[in-house]
Amino acid sequence: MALDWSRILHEHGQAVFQAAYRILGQVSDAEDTAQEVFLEACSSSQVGEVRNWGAYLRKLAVFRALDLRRRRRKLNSLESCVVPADSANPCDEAVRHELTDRVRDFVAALPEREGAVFALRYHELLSNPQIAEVLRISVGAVAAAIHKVRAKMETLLLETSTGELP
Amino acid sequence: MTRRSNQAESHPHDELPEPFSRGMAEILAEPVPLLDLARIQSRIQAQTERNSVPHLWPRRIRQLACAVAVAAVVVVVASRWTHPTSAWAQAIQQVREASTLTYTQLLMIKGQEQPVKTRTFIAADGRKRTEQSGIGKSDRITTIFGADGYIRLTLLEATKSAIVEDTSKFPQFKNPGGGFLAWLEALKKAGGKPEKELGRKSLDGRAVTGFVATLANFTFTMWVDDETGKPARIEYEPQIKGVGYEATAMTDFRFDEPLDESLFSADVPEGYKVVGQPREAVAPSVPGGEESVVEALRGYTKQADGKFPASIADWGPWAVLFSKGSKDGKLDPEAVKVLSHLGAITPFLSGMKKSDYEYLGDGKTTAQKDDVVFWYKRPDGTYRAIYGDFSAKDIAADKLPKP
Repeated sequence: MALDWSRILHEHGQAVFQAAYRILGQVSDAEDTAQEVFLEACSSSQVGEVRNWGAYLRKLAVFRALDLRRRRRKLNSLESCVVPADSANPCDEAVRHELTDRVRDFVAALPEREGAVFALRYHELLSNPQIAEVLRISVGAVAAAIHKVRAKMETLLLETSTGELP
Repeated sequence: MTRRSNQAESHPHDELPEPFSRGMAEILAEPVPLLDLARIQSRIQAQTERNSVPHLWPRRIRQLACAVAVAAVVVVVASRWTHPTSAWAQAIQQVREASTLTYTQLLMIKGQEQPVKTRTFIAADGRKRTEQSGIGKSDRITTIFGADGYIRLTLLEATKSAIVEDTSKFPQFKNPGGGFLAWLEALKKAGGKPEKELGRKSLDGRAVTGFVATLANFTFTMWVDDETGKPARIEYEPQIKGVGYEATAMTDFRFDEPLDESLFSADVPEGYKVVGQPREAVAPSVPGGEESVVEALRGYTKQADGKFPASIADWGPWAVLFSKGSKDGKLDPEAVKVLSHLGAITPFLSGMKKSDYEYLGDGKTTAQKDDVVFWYKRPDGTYRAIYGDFSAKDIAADKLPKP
Protein backbone atom coordinates (compact mmCIF):
# COMPACT_ATOMS: atom_id res chain seq x y z
CA MET A 1 0.00 0.00 0.00
CA ALA A 2 1.36 3.43 -1.00
CA LEU A 3 2.18 5.87 1.78
CA ASP A 4 -0.02 8.93 2.12
CA TRP A 5 2.74 11.55 1.96
CA SER A 6 0.28 14.41 1.94
CA ARG A 7 -1.09 13.30 5.30
CA ILE A 8 2.39 12.74 6.72
CA LEU A 9 3.46 16.19 5.56
CA HIS A 10 0.41 17.87 7.05
CA GLU A 11 0.71 15.99 10.34
CA HIS A 12 4.42 16.46 10.86
CA GLY A 13 5.53 19.29 8.54
CA GLN A 14 5.24 22.06 11.12
CA ALA A 15 7.02 20.02 13.81
CA VAL A 16 9.88 19.30 11.39
CA PHE A 17 10.08 22.95 10.42
CA GLN A 18 10.02 24.07 14.07
CA ALA A 19 12.81 21.68 15.05
CA ALA A 20 14.94 23.03 12.20
CA TYR A 21 14.02 26.66 12.84
CA ARG A 22 15.06 26.55 16.49
CA ILE A 23 18.47 25.26 15.52
CA LEU A 24 18.97 27.52 12.53
CA GLY A 25 17.06 30.69 13.43
CA GLN A 26 16.40 31.44 9.74
CA VAL A 27 13.10 30.81 7.98
CA SER A 28 14.59 30.10 4.57
CA ASP A 29 17.17 27.67 5.99
CA ALA A 30 14.51 25.90 8.05
CA GLU A 31 12.28 25.58 4.96
CA ASP A 32 15.15 24.13 2.97
CA THR A 33 15.84 21.68 5.79
CA ALA A 34 12.18 20.64 5.99
CA GLN A 35 12.16 20.03 2.25
CA GLU A 36 15.38 18.04 2.50
CA VAL A 37 13.96 15.94 5.35
CA PHE A 38 10.84 14.98 3.42
CA LEU A 39 12.75 14.28 0.23
CA GLU A 40 15.18 12.13 2.18
CA ALA A 41 12.33 10.33 3.91
CA CYS A 42 10.42 9.55 0.75
CA SER A 43 13.52 8.33 -1.06
CA SER A 44 14.68 6.23 1.86
CA SER A 45 14.52 2.47 1.52
CA GLN A 46 13.57 2.35 5.21
CA VAL A 47 10.19 4.05 4.87
CA GLY A 48 8.34 0.77 5.04
CA GLU A 49 9.90 0.11 8.44
CA VAL A 50 9.01 3.45 10.04
CA ARG A 51 6.54 3.04 12.90
CA ASN A 52 6.73 6.48 14.49
CA TRP A 53 6.79 9.14 11.78
CA GLY A 54 6.94 12.02 14.26
CA ALA A 55 10.08 10.67 15.90
CA TYR A 56 11.70 9.64 12.62
CA LEU A 57 11.15 12.98 10.88
CA ARG A 58 12.11 15.04 13.92
CA LYS A 59 15.36 13.11 14.21
CA LEU A 60 16.13 13.78 10.55
CA ALA A 61 15.24 17.46 11.00
CA VAL A 62 17.59 17.87 13.97
CA PHE A 63 20.50 16.17 12.24
CA ARG A 64 20.06 18.00 8.94
CA ALA A 65 19.61 21.36 10.64
CA LEU A 66 22.75 20.83 12.72
CA ASP A 67 24.62 19.87 9.53
CA LEU A 68 23.48 23.07 7.84
CA ARG A 69 24.29 25.23 10.84
CA ARG A 70 27.82 23.81 10.89
CA ARG A 71 28.25 24.54 7.21
CA ARG A 72 27.02 28.08 7.48
CA ARG A 73 29.78 30.56 7.76
CA LYS A 74 29.31 32.79 10.74
CA LEU A 75 27.88 36.08 9.58
CA ASN A 76 28.08 38.12 12.76
CA SER A 77 29.82 40.61 10.57
CA LEU A 78 26.82 41.52 8.54
CA GLU A 79 24.03 40.69 10.94
CA SER A 80 24.92 41.81 14.42
CA CYS A 81 25.49 45.36 13.31
CA VAL A 82 22.07 45.76 11.79
CA VAL A 83 18.99 46.46 13.83
CA PRO A 84 15.79 45.07 12.31
CA ALA A 85 13.36 47.79 11.35
CA ASP A 86 10.54 46.21 13.35
CA SER A 87 12.49 46.15 16.58
CA ALA A 88 10.84 48.06 19.43
CA ASN A 89 14.23 48.58 21.07
CA PRO A 90 17.18 48.35 18.69
CA CYS A 91 19.76 47.81 21.42
CA ASP A 92 17.85 45.02 23.19
CA GLU A 93 17.14 43.34 19.87
CA ALA A 94 20.81 43.37 18.93
CA VAL A 95 21.83 41.83 22.27
CA ARG A 96 19.11 39.17 22.02
CA HIS A 97 20.14 38.27 18.49
CA GLU A 98 23.78 37.93 19.47
CA LEU A 99 23.01 35.72 22.47
CA THR A 100 20.74 33.31 20.57
CA ASP A 101 23.17 33.18 17.67
CA ARG A 102 26.02 32.18 19.97
CA VAL A 103 23.96 29.52 21.73
CA ARG A 104 23.02 28.11 18.31
CA ASP A 105 26.66 28.10 17.26
CA PHE A 106 27.62 26.32 20.48
CA VAL A 107 25.06 23.58 19.84
CA ALA A 108 26.16 23.19 16.23
CA ALA A 109 29.78 22.81 17.35
CA LEU A 110 28.95 19.85 19.61
CA PRO A 111 29.61 16.29 18.43
CA GLU A 112 26.70 14.96 16.39
CA ARG A 113 24.99 12.90 19.06
CA GLU A 114 25.41 15.50 21.81
CA GLY A 115 24.03 18.19 19.52
CA ALA A 116 21.01 16.09 18.67
CA VAL A 117 20.35 15.18 22.32
CA PHE A 118 20.67 18.83 23.30
CA ALA A 119 18.27 19.98 20.57
CA LEU A 120 15.69 17.35 21.39
CA ARG A 121 15.81 18.07 25.11
CA TYR A 122 16.04 21.86 25.18
CA HIS A 123 14.46 22.85 21.87
CA GLU A 124 11.87 20.11 21.55
CA LEU A 125 11.41 19.62 25.33
CA LEU A 126 11.47 15.83 25.10
CA SER A 127 12.13 13.62 28.13
CA ASN A 128 15.20 11.42 28.27
CA PRO A 129 13.21 8.24 27.44
CA GLN A 130 11.58 10.03 24.49
CA ILE A 131 14.99 11.17 23.22
CA ALA A 132 16.28 7.63 23.62
CA GLU A 133 13.41 6.35 21.49
CA VAL A 134 13.91 8.99 18.78
CA LEU A 135 17.65 8.42 18.52
CA ARG A 136 17.48 4.69 19.19
CA ILE A 137 19.99 4.86 22.00
CA SER A 138 19.76 3.98 25.68
CA VAL A 139 18.38 6.35 28.28
CA GLY A 140 21.75 6.18 29.99
CA ALA A 141 23.46 7.38 26.83
CA VAL A 142 21.07 10.35 26.70
CA ALA A 143 21.82 11.27 30.30
CA ALA A 144 25.55 10.98 29.65
CA ALA A 145 25.32 13.24 26.60
CA ILE A 146 23.41 15.88 28.55
CA HIS A 147 25.95 15.73 31.35
CA LYS A 148 28.80 16.20 28.85
CA VAL A 149 27.11 19.18 27.23
CA ARG A 150 26.56 20.91 30.57
CA ALA A 151 30.16 20.23 31.52
CA LYS A 152 31.29 21.79 28.24
CA MET A 153 29.19 24.85 28.96
CA GLU A 154 30.73 25.25 32.40
CA THR A 155 34.23 24.79 30.99
CA LEU A 156 33.60 27.33 28.28
CA LEU A 157 32.33 29.88 30.78
CA LEU A 158 35.29 29.29 33.07
CA GLU A 159 37.69 29.74 30.16
CA THR A 160 36.14 33.06 29.20
CA SER A 161 36.13 34.10 32.91
CA THR A 162 33.70 36.90 32.13
CA GLY A 163 30.60 34.72 32.30
CA GLU A 164 29.77 35.71 28.74
CA LEU A 165 29.81 33.55 25.65
CA PRO A 166 32.88 34.04 23.49
CA MET B 1 2.18 34.61 9.74
CA THR B 2 3.74 33.28 12.89
CA ARG B 3 2.63 31.54 16.00
CA ARG B 4 4.11 31.13 19.41
CA SER B 5 5.27 27.60 19.85
CA ASN B 6 3.86 25.56 22.67
CA GLN B 7 6.07 25.31 25.69
CA ALA B 8 5.87 22.78 28.45
CA GLU B 9 5.04 23.85 31.98
CA SER B 10 8.55 23.09 33.16
CA HIS B 11 11.57 24.53 31.42
CA PRO B 12 14.49 22.12 31.15
CA HIS B 13 16.77 24.95 30.10
CA ASP B 14 16.53 26.34 33.64
CA GLU B 15 19.05 23.68 34.59
CA LEU B 16 21.63 25.16 32.21
CA PRO B 17 24.21 27.69 33.39
CA GLU B 18 23.79 31.33 32.51
CA PRO B 19 23.87 32.78 29.90
CA PHE B 20 22.93 29.53 28.11
CA SER B 21 19.70 29.31 30.08
CA ARG B 22 18.75 32.85 29.04
CA GLY B 23 19.73 32.16 25.43
CA MET B 24 17.57 29.04 25.32
CA ALA B 25 14.67 30.95 26.86
CA GLU B 26 15.02 33.54 24.09
CA ILE B 27 15.13 30.85 21.40
CA LEU B 28 12.00 29.19 22.78
CA ALA B 29 10.25 32.56 22.97
CA GLU B 30 10.90 33.29 19.30
CA PRO B 31 7.72 33.07 17.24
CA VAL B 32 7.98 30.10 14.88
CA PRO B 33 6.62 30.97 11.43
CA LEU B 34 4.13 28.62 9.85
CA LEU B 35 5.59 26.33 7.22
CA ASP B 36 4.31 26.83 3.69
CA LEU B 37 3.07 23.25 3.35
CA ALA B 38 1.73 23.71 -0.17
CA ARG B 39 5.15 24.75 -1.41
CA ILE B 40 6.93 21.84 0.24
CA GLN B 41 4.24 19.49 -1.01
CA SER B 42 4.62 20.59 -4.61
CA ARG B 43 8.39 20.13 -4.38
CA ILE B 44 8.18 16.55 -3.17
CA GLN B 45 5.27 15.56 -5.38
CA ALA B 46 7.42 14.13 -8.14
CA GLN B 47 9.39 12.21 -5.58
CA THR B 48 6.37 10.70 -3.86
CA GLU B 49 4.88 9.56 -7.14
CA ARG B 50 7.96 7.52 -7.81
CA ASN B 51 8.10 6.28 -4.26
CA SER B 52 4.62 4.80 -4.34
CA VAL B 53 6.20 1.58 -5.60
CA PRO B 54 4.45 -1.36 -3.88
CA HIS B 55 6.54 -2.63 -0.99
CA LEU B 56 5.76 -6.17 -2.09
CA TRP B 57 8.43 -5.75 -4.74
CA PRO B 58 11.79 -7.34 -4.09
CA ARG B 59 14.15 -5.11 -2.09
CA ARG B 60 16.60 -4.76 -4.97
CA ILE B 61 13.89 -3.48 -7.31
CA ARG B 62 12.70 -1.05 -4.63
CA GLN B 63 16.25 0.27 -4.24
CA LEU B 64 16.49 0.69 -8.01
CA ALA B 65 13.19 2.56 -8.07
CA CYS B 66 14.39 4.87 -5.30
CA ALA B 67 17.62 5.54 -7.15
CA VAL B 68 15.62 6.52 -10.22
CA ALA B 69 13.45 8.76 -8.04
CA VAL B 70 16.47 10.52 -6.57
CA ALA B 71 17.87 11.04 -10.06
CA ALA B 72 14.54 12.53 -11.09
CA VAL B 73 14.70 15.01 -8.22
CA VAL B 74 18.19 16.02 -9.26
CA VAL B 75 16.90 16.69 -12.77
CA VAL B 76 13.97 18.71 -11.39
CA VAL B 77 16.29 20.76 -9.18
CA ALA B 78 18.75 21.29 -12.02
CA SER B 79 16.01 22.47 -14.37
CA ARG B 80 14.69 24.86 -11.73
CA TRP B 81 18.14 26.35 -11.33
CA THR B 82 17.95 27.91 -14.75
CA HIS B 83 14.43 29.22 -14.15
CA PRO B 84 14.24 32.98 -13.44
CA THR B 85 12.98 32.56 -9.85
CA SER B 86 16.06 30.47 -9.13
CA ALA B 87 18.16 33.42 -10.27
CA TRP B 88 16.44 35.41 -7.53
CA ALA B 89 17.11 32.69 -4.96
CA GLN B 90 20.73 32.41 -6.04
CA ALA B 91 21.25 36.17 -5.78
CA ILE B 92 19.65 36.28 -2.33
CA GLN B 93 21.91 33.46 -1.24
CA GLN B 94 24.93 35.46 -2.40
CA VAL B 95 23.79 38.39 -0.27
CA ARG B 96 23.01 36.19 2.72
CA GLU B 97 26.25 34.25 2.73
CA ALA B 98 28.71 36.99 1.88
CA SER B 99 31.67 37.12 4.25
CA THR B 100 32.81 40.50 2.91
CA LEU B 101 30.78 42.87 0.82
CA THR B 102 31.51 46.01 -1.15
CA TYR B 103 28.96 48.07 -3.08
CA THR B 104 28.18 51.57 -4.28
CA GLN B 105 25.04 53.28 -3.05
CA LEU B 106 23.42 55.95 -5.21
CA LEU B 107 21.06 58.33 -3.42
CA MET B 108 18.77 60.19 -5.81
CA ILE B 109 18.17 63.62 -4.27
CA LYS B 110 15.13 65.63 -5.26
CA GLY B 111 16.12 68.49 -7.57
CA GLN B 112 19.66 67.18 -8.09
CA GLU B 113 20.75 65.72 -11.40
CA GLN B 114 23.62 63.70 -9.96
CA PRO B 115 23.08 61.16 -7.17
CA VAL B 116 25.14 61.16 -3.99
CA LYS B 117 27.54 58.23 -4.25
CA THR B 118 28.69 56.23 -1.26
CA ARG B 119 31.05 53.30 -1.57
CA THR B 120 30.59 50.90 1.35
CA PHE B 121 33.04 48.23 2.47
CA ILE B 122 31.99 45.60 5.03
CA ALA B 123 34.73 43.46 6.55
CA ALA B 124 34.31 39.85 7.63
CA ASP B 125 34.40 40.89 11.29
CA GLY B 126 31.70 43.55 10.86
CA ARG B 127 33.80 46.70 10.61
CA LYS B 128 32.61 49.07 7.94
CA ARG B 129 33.92 51.94 5.89
CA THR B 130 31.81 54.35 3.89
CA GLU B 131 33.21 56.86 1.41
CA GLN B 132 30.65 59.47 0.49
CA SER B 133 31.38 61.63 -2.53
CA GLY B 134 29.99 65.14 -2.51
CA ILE B 135 27.74 66.41 -5.25
CA GLY B 136 30.03 67.70 -7.96
CA LYS B 137 33.31 68.53 -6.23
CA SER B 138 35.64 66.05 -4.64
CA ASP B 139 34.88 66.62 -1.00
CA ARG B 140 34.72 63.02 0.10
CA ILE B 141 33.65 62.11 3.62
CA THR B 142 35.00 58.81 4.91
CA THR B 143 33.55 57.14 7.98
CA ILE B 144 35.00 54.13 9.78
CA PHE B 145 32.66 52.04 11.93
CA GLY B 146 33.75 49.49 14.53
CA ALA B 147 32.46 45.92 14.45
CA ASP B 148 29.84 47.00 17.00
CA GLY B 149 28.29 49.46 14.55
CA TYR B 150 29.53 52.65 16.22
CA ILE B 151 31.51 55.36 14.46
CA ARG B 152 35.21 55.44 15.26
CA LEU B 153 36.58 57.98 12.81
CA THR B 154 35.30 60.53 10.30
CA LEU B 155 37.59 62.06 7.68
CA LEU B 156 36.64 65.24 5.82
CA GLU B 157 38.79 65.33 2.69
CA ALA B 158 37.98 68.90 1.70
CA THR B 159 39.48 70.34 4.89
CA LYS B 160 41.77 67.43 5.75
CA SER B 161 40.00 67.19 9.08
CA ALA B 162 39.58 64.11 11.24
CA ILE B 163 36.92 63.63 13.90
CA VAL B 164 37.98 60.90 16.29
CA GLU B 165 35.23 59.52 18.42
CA ASP B 166 34.14 56.46 20.32
CA THR B 167 30.39 56.63 20.53
CA SER B 168 29.89 53.09 21.77
CA LYS B 169 28.51 54.31 25.10
CA PHE B 170 25.69 56.05 23.29
CA PRO B 171 23.22 53.68 21.60
CA GLN B 172 21.65 56.55 19.66
CA PHE B 173 24.81 56.68 17.53
CA LYS B 174 24.69 53.07 16.46
CA ASN B 175 24.25 52.90 12.70
CA PRO B 176 23.52 56.61 12.37
CA GLY B 177 20.95 57.52 9.77
CA GLY B 178 18.42 54.97 10.98
CA GLY B 179 20.46 51.90 10.14
CA PHE B 180 21.99 52.32 6.72
CA LEU B 181 22.27 48.57 6.36
CA ALA B 182 18.64 47.87 7.26
CA TRP B 183 17.98 47.16 3.58
CA LEU B 184 20.61 44.43 3.64
CA GLU B 185 19.16 42.77 6.71
CA ALA B 186 15.69 42.89 5.16
CA LEU B 187 16.89 41.40 1.89
CA LYS B 188 18.67 38.57 3.66
CA LYS B 189 15.32 37.45 5.05
CA ALA B 190 13.83 37.10 1.59
CA GLY B 191 12.21 33.80 0.71
CA GLY B 192 12.92 31.65 -2.30
CA LYS B 193 10.49 33.43 -4.59
CA PRO B 194 9.98 37.08 -5.50
CA GLU B 195 6.54 38.69 -5.77
CA LYS B 196 6.97 39.61 -9.38
CA GLU B 197 9.33 39.02 -12.27
CA LEU B 198 10.12 41.95 -14.51
CA GLY B 199 11.68 40.06 -17.39
CA ARG B 200 15.04 40.70 -19.00
CA LYS B 201 16.79 43.87 -20.11
CA SER B 202 20.26 45.22 -20.76
CA LEU B 203 21.94 47.10 -17.92
CA ASP B 204 25.36 48.68 -18.54
CA GLY B 205 25.91 46.21 -21.36
CA ARG B 206 24.94 43.18 -19.31
CA ALA B 207 21.85 41.03 -19.72
CA VAL B 208 19.91 41.12 -16.45
CA THR B 209 16.62 39.76 -15.13
CA GLY B 210 14.47 41.81 -12.78
CA PHE B 211 12.51 40.82 -9.68
CA VAL B 212 10.36 42.71 -7.18
CA ALA B 213 9.81 41.79 -3.53
CA THR B 214 8.58 43.61 -0.42
CA LEU B 215 10.37 42.90 2.85
CA ALA B 216 10.15 44.78 6.15
CA ASN B 217 8.72 47.99 4.63
CA PHE B 218 11.21 47.89 1.75
CA THR B 219 9.99 47.28 -1.78
CA PHE B 220 13.04 46.01 -3.62
CA THR B 221 13.70 45.79 -7.31
CA MET B 222 16.65 43.53 -7.93
CA TRP B 223 18.35 43.09 -11.29
CA VAL B 224 20.37 39.89 -11.45
CA ASP B 225 23.19 39.38 -13.93
CA ASP B 226 22.13 36.51 -16.19
CA GLU B 227 25.70 35.37 -16.70
CA THR B 228 27.10 35.47 -13.16
CA GLY B 229 23.89 35.04 -11.17
CA LYS B 230 24.97 37.93 -8.92
CA PRO B 231 22.95 41.04 -8.11
CA ALA B 232 23.80 43.78 -10.60
CA ARG B 233 21.59 46.50 -9.14
CA ILE B 234 19.25 46.64 -6.15
CA GLU B 235 16.84 49.56 -5.86
CA TYR B 236 14.29 50.55 -3.25
CA GLU B 237 11.93 53.42 -2.65
CA PRO B 238 12.24 55.49 0.54
CA GLN B 239 10.84 53.63 3.52
CA ILE B 240 9.24 56.75 4.94
CA LYS B 241 7.18 59.53 3.46
CA GLY B 242 8.45 63.07 2.99
CA VAL B 243 12.19 62.38 2.84
CA GLY B 244 14.47 64.54 0.76
CA TYR B 245 15.48 61.77 -1.62
CA GLU B 246 13.55 59.85 -4.21
CA ALA B 247 15.17 56.45 -4.38
CA THR B 248 18.24 54.47 -3.42
CA ALA B 249 20.13 52.11 -5.70
CA MET B 250 23.04 49.79 -4.95
CA THR B 251 25.42 48.78 -7.71
CA ASP B 252 28.90 47.40 -8.34
CA PHE B 253 28.66 44.57 -5.84
CA ARG B 254 31.74 42.62 -4.82
CA PHE B 255 31.18 39.53 -2.70
CA ASP B 256 33.79 37.69 -0.62
CA GLU B 257 36.74 39.67 -1.97
CA PRO B 258 39.69 40.23 0.38
CA LEU B 259 39.59 43.76 1.81
CA ASP B 260 42.77 45.51 2.85
CA GLU B 261 43.05 45.94 6.61
CA SER B 262 44.00 49.60 6.18
CA LEU B 263 40.49 50.36 4.91
CA PHE B 264 39.14 49.87 8.41
CA SER B 265 41.92 51.50 10.41
CA ALA B 266 40.71 54.01 12.98
CA ASP B 267 44.10 55.74 13.00
CA VAL B 268 44.17 59.31 11.74
CA PRO B 269 45.94 59.36 8.34
CA GLU B 270 48.99 61.50 7.80
CA GLY B 271 48.11 65.04 6.75
CA TYR B 272 44.82 65.13 8.64
CA LYS B 273 44.21 67.40 11.61
CA VAL B 274 42.04 66.22 14.49
CA VAL B 275 39.21 68.69 15.01
CA GLY B 276 35.84 69.09 16.72
CA GLN B 277 34.63 67.94 20.05
CA PRO B 278 33.56 64.39 20.78
CA ARG B 279 29.99 63.81 19.74
CA GLU B 280 29.09 62.41 23.15
CA ALA B 281 29.85 65.77 24.71
CA VAL B 282 27.09 67.53 22.86
CA ALA B 283 24.37 65.11 21.80
CA PRO B 284 21.78 64.07 24.38
CA SER B 285 19.84 60.83 24.51
CA VAL B 286 16.21 61.21 23.43
CA PRO B 287 13.19 58.97 23.96
CA GLY B 288 12.14 58.64 20.32
CA GLY B 289 8.58 57.82 19.19
CA GLU B 290 5.70 60.20 19.75
CA GLU B 291 7.57 62.20 22.36
CA SER B 292 10.39 63.00 19.96
CA VAL B 293 7.91 64.06 17.27
CA VAL B 294 6.32 66.50 19.75
CA GLU B 295 9.63 67.87 20.98
CA ALA B 296 11.11 68.22 17.50
CA LEU B 297 8.04 70.11 16.27
CA ARG B 298 8.00 72.29 19.37
CA GLY B 299 11.64 73.18 18.83
CA TYR B 300 11.21 73.89 15.12
CA THR B 301 8.17 76.15 15.53
CA LYS B 302 9.92 78.06 18.28
CA GLN B 303 12.79 78.79 15.91
CA ALA B 304 10.51 79.45 12.89
CA ASP B 305 8.08 81.97 14.39
CA GLY B 306 5.34 79.41 14.92
CA LYS B 307 5.48 77.80 11.48
CA PHE B 308 5.50 74.03 11.27
CA PRO B 309 8.11 72.41 8.98
CA ALA B 310 7.19 71.11 5.55
CA SER B 311 8.39 67.64 6.50
CA ILE B 312 9.59 65.70 9.53
CA ALA B 313 11.60 63.30 7.36
CA ASP B 314 13.57 65.73 5.21
CA TRP B 315 16.31 67.02 7.48
CA GLY B 316 17.66 69.61 5.04
CA PRO B 317 15.41 72.57 5.92
CA TRP B 318 15.83 71.82 9.63
CA ALA B 319 19.62 71.90 9.32
CA VAL B 320 19.44 75.21 7.47
CA LEU B 321 17.14 76.76 10.08
CA PHE B 322 19.16 75.70 13.09
CA SER B 323 22.55 76.38 11.57
CA LYS B 324 21.61 80.06 11.37
CA GLY B 325 22.14 80.38 15.10
CA SER B 326 25.41 78.47 15.19
CA LYS B 327 28.65 80.02 16.29
CA ASP B 328 31.98 78.87 14.91
CA GLY B 329 30.25 75.89 13.35
CA LYS B 330 28.85 74.72 16.69
CA LEU B 331 25.16 74.44 17.46
CA ASP B 332 23.76 75.62 20.75
CA PRO B 333 22.61 72.87 23.13
CA GLU B 334 18.93 73.59 22.49
CA ALA B 335 19.37 73.14 18.73
CA VAL B 336 21.30 69.92 19.27
CA LYS B 337 18.47 68.61 21.42
CA VAL B 338 15.82 69.45 18.81
CA LEU B 339 17.86 67.83 16.03
CA SER B 340 18.45 64.76 18.19
CA HIS B 341 14.67 64.41 18.51
CA LEU B 342 14.41 64.85 14.75
CA GLY B 343 16.95 62.08 14.21
CA ALA B 344 14.92 59.78 16.43
CA ILE B 345 11.81 60.28 14.29
CA THR B 346 13.23 58.40 11.29
CA PRO B 347 13.50 54.98 12.97
CA PHE B 348 10.06 55.59 14.49
CA LEU B 349 8.53 56.16 11.06
CA SER B 350 10.48 53.43 9.30
CA GLY B 351 9.05 50.91 11.76
CA MET B 352 5.56 51.62 10.44
CA LYS B 353 3.83 51.09 7.12
CA LYS B 354 3.58 54.24 5.06
CA SER B 355 -0.21 54.05 5.32
CA ASP B 356 -0.05 54.02 9.14
CA TYR B 357 1.05 57.63 9.69
CA GLU B 358 0.72 61.06 8.15
CA TYR B 359 2.42 64.39 8.72
CA LEU B 360 0.05 67.31 8.08
CA GLY B 361 1.94 70.28 9.49
CA ASP B 362 3.09 71.75 6.18
CA GLY B 363 1.64 75.27 5.90
CA LYS B 364 0.24 75.26 9.45
CA THR B 365 1.21 77.39 12.44
CA THR B 366 0.92 76.94 16.18
CA ALA B 367 -2.10 79.27 16.09
CA GLN B 368 -4.07 76.34 14.63
CA LYS B 369 -4.19 74.66 18.01
CA ASP B 370 -6.93 72.14 17.22
CA ASP B 371 -5.53 71.00 13.89
CA VAL B 372 -3.92 67.58 13.68
CA VAL B 373 -0.34 67.98 12.51
CA PHE B 374 0.65 64.31 12.81
CA TRP B 375 -1.14 61.02 13.40
CA TYR B 376 -0.06 57.43 13.55
CA LYS B 377 -1.42 53.97 14.17
CA ARG B 378 -0.19 52.13 17.23
CA PRO B 379 0.65 48.42 17.14
CA ASP B 380 -2.63 47.66 18.96
CA GLY B 381 -4.60 49.20 16.07
CA THR B 382 -5.61 52.43 17.84
CA TYR B 383 -4.62 55.87 16.57
CA ARG B 384 -2.84 58.83 18.16
CA ALA B 385 -2.81 62.41 16.97
CA ILE B 386 -0.53 65.37 17.73
CA TYR B 387 -2.23 68.75 17.51
CA GLY B 388 -1.06 72.28 16.74
CA ASP B 389 -0.70 73.01 20.46
CA PHE B 390 1.58 69.92 20.79
CA SER B 391 -0.96 67.97 22.78
CA ALA B 392 -1.18 64.25 21.91
CA LYS B 393 -4.44 62.33 22.20
CA ASP B 394 -6.11 59.13 21.06
CA ILE B 395 -8.23 59.64 17.97
CA ALA B 396 -10.88 57.48 16.30
CA ALA B 397 -10.02 56.12 12.86
CA ASP B 398 -12.99 57.91 11.27
CA LYS B 399 -11.80 61.25 12.67
CA LEU B 400 -8.41 61.13 11.01
CA PRO B 401 -7.92 64.10 8.68
CA LYS B 402 -7.10 63.44 5.05
CA PRO B 403 -3.75 64.62 3.72
